[in-house]
Amino acid sequence: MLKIKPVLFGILGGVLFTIAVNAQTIEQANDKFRQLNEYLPTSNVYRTASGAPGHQYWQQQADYKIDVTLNDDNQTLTGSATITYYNNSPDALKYIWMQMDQNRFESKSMDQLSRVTPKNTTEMTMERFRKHVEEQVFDGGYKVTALTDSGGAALSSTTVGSMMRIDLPTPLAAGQRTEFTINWWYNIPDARKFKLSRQGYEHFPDDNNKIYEIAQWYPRVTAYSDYEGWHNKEYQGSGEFTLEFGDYDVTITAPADHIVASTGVLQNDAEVLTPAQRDRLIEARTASEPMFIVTPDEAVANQSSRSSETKSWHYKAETVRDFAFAASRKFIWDAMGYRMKENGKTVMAMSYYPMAGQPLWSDISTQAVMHTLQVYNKYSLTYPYPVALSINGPIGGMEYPMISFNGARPTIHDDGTRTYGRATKHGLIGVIIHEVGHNYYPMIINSDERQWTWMDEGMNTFVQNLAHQEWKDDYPLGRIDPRNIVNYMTSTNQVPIMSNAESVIQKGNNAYAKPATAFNILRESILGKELFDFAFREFAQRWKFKRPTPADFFRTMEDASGVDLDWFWRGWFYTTDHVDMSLDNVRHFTINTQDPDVEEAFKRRKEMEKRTHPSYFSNDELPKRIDEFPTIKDFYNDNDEFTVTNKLRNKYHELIAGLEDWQIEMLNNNSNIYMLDFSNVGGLLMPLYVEVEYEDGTKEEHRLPAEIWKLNYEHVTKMIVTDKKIASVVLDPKYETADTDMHNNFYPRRIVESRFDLVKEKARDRRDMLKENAEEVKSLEDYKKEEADKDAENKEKSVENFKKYLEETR
Amino acid sequence: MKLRSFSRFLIIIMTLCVADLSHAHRFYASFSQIDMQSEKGTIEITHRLFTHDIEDLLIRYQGGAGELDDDVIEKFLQNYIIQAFAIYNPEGESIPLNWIAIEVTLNDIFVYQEAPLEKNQQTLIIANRILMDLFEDQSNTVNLKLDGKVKSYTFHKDSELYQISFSGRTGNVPLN
Repeated sequence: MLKIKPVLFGILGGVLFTIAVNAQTIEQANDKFRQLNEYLPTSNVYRTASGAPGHQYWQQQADYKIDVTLNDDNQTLTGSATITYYNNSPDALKYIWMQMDQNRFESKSMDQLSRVTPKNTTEMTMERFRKHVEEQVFDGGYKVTALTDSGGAALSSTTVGSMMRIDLPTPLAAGQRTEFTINWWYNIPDARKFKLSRQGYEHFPDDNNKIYEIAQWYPRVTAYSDYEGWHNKEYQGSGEFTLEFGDYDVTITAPADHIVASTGVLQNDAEVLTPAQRDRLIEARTASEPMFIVTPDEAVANQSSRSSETKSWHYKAETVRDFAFAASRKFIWDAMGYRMKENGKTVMAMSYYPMAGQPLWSDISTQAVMHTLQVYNKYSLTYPYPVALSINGPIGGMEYPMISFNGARPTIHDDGTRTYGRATKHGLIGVIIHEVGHNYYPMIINSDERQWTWMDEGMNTFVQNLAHQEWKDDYPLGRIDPRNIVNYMTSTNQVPIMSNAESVIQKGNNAYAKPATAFNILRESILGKELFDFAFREFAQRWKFKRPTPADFFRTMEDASGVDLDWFWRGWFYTTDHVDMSLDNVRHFTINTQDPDVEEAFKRRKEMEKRTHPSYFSNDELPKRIDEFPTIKDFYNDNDEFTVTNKLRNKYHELIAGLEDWQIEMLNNNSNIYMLDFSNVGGLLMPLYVEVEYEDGTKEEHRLPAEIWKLNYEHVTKMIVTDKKIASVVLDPKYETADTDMHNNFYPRRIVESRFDLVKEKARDRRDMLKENAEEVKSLEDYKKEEADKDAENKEKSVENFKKYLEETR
Repeated sequence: MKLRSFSRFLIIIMTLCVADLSHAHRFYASFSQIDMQSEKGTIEITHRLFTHDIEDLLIRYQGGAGELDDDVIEKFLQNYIIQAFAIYNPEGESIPLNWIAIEVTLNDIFVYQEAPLEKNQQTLIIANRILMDLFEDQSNTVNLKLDGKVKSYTFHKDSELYQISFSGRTGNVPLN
């Protein structure tokens, strides 16, 4: 048995000699490394246990041929759609459920009826009250005027909130398709009057024009999936959309002087564009910078036009899960072809915006669209569509296939000039990258938004931030920096990321920042860029144009990286635990050589180190009796208890004689042995990233995997053997793990300057000394008196006011 | 700041409320961390606000100022925060907050305030109306931290004063 001897007693946690891991009974149910069995569905022929689509994966398809008319006079939209529904499922369907999402704006919708008012409301702003009133009086929702089968016979239907059931005369067998036609109209809502409207119009009183951003505008077939059947969760505003792919053939009739921007490719440019516009479009396709198709001057001239004619814009789009468009007289239009290096194809990146968006929009928008494609193609998949659009209108940020609505604008001053702050500028870059990025998540990687906000928002926010890093060097990390999520992670009123989209609280942190930060930690720290990027891209490749669930993502990331991450998903996605790891103690040992000449001297040194009390030394000067009568001296006066006797030496030689050479070598190993004691205070397990600084100034990093906690997730001890002596140890020096409390991460403990302290320090440095010097010098007494008077006065006033206040409000 | 002037302020700002700008990707949220540092004897407050929201707020109250430099933002926030955020001891006495500084980044503005912490103080009453004058759906989460323990509360437009205590009652302090 090799023995080690403590050199330096721990100064933090007291003296501990136990080295073994604290063994205790851990029930399987509490094992933080157990597989996610209770959460993940059993794999089947549709979805494999590796996270890929199964060999019998299927999804439904719905193709739409739509004629729609936008009426600018009364803000209505009238449409007629012939829908071909392909039943690719193995099930016969007796009915087809439709999503009637405009019905959310009906006064008796579940969204309106399930809104709550705080119990103690006694006052309300005029604005808010007006909104309540308008929501009640607005005649929203679809008015279906006809519903017929392909032969023209009426079909019966039942509307349930934002859903409508179409009963089929005969069940639609597996592998069969059916066709039906719906006619409808609705009042387009004023986008700014509804919470999370995601579509609608904006009115510009100065020139009496509108910008229409039209979405959720046609009855859409409800998704029918292998894991949920018909997706029948009501649209309440927060949970976005769960949709099927299909081909669209849409003819949009609008006032002749409107410019119509849309999902898809324009089929009849000769009929709706001027020869000049068509020439510019051709030129823009190969231009080296964005070109105007409609110039600002032309847009301003258009604003005062009032055509009584109409024009029909014919657009086609293939394999999209939705279709949206925008229309206005006010649009400036710029475009540039972006040639993708992945396949040599050119995507038309285009932006449509009113003068109110200038000068910002023509500088930034189309560039941001192209930048998005460039970066997302690398991390996800090659953009499969022929166009990518960014539109400025009333909606702050909303995504649809090939088209996105982005709201940021400069500020217009009374004199008509426009300026913008840096946050507006970067906010616009960020929002365009974000909304265009949604083409990948969830428009192509078709996740179920009605259930899971984090799947599209979290992944998209993550890639968005990677795109920021490639926009310019010093773009701040923002929402993916682990340091920025710690306060949220400690808050007590949160829900796990794996919560339904409608039930998420603190949405920005929950569904955007926390999952994006988790992916960043996986990429930078746990898997490394190469493994993470491979797995993350594999997920995109497997699920493009298909419908992944969270389980498919978790499984694919493990399958492709070869790393078991169940502990990570469990902690970050299924709990509200936070990270707080502590470096409790660092203990120093050396090998017990068993050689009495070495060991007894060592013991003597240790004994002498203990003799620190003054009385050991204060009497040294006094004369000693044994010096006066030397005859009383004997062996014990010259030798202390640590003197090595021959018996001890013989015993040692006997021991050595019985050892093999390698064992003797071990005994003579003069390494320093350090025991690092860690504890997990927060609960959320993470790897231990330990930076050791030696007395000679060199540093060494130990990156210990999270699995170090596998036997005991409260306390672990790690041994480090080294020739050198350790001067200090830091746990997570680069703030990689979202550790919420860094005070216990240092050995020896040091005063950690909090963000607060640092700012305070800086604020102090910023002082104006000239001004300070101009102040009169007060005597200390004056000052004290002044302070006391002020305090007394404040206290009195404050109590008085509080009483008054309570009386007033009672 | 006194409760009374606070309520008066609310009435004023309520008449200024603007329509909800349906920004799907703006979160209408702020986050405040209040650390009761018993060793230092201080209450350290850090508000994290979205830069974009504060720019909107500035434009709302001061008109567009073009490129907004940090000093303009700080001067404005010094006035604004003191009217929108306050803490009180359990007796209802307001605890005066010292202005420390702000820190402006592209995405966030951090506001730092400080106050003395009474010995053995374990309870605070908090009022938080930050940005509620601008956004109907603003929600402000506050973390109160004492000796490593955290309690959180999220303020909405209709929230009352809220008392958080590590030794006594945690809950609403009714306004009426």
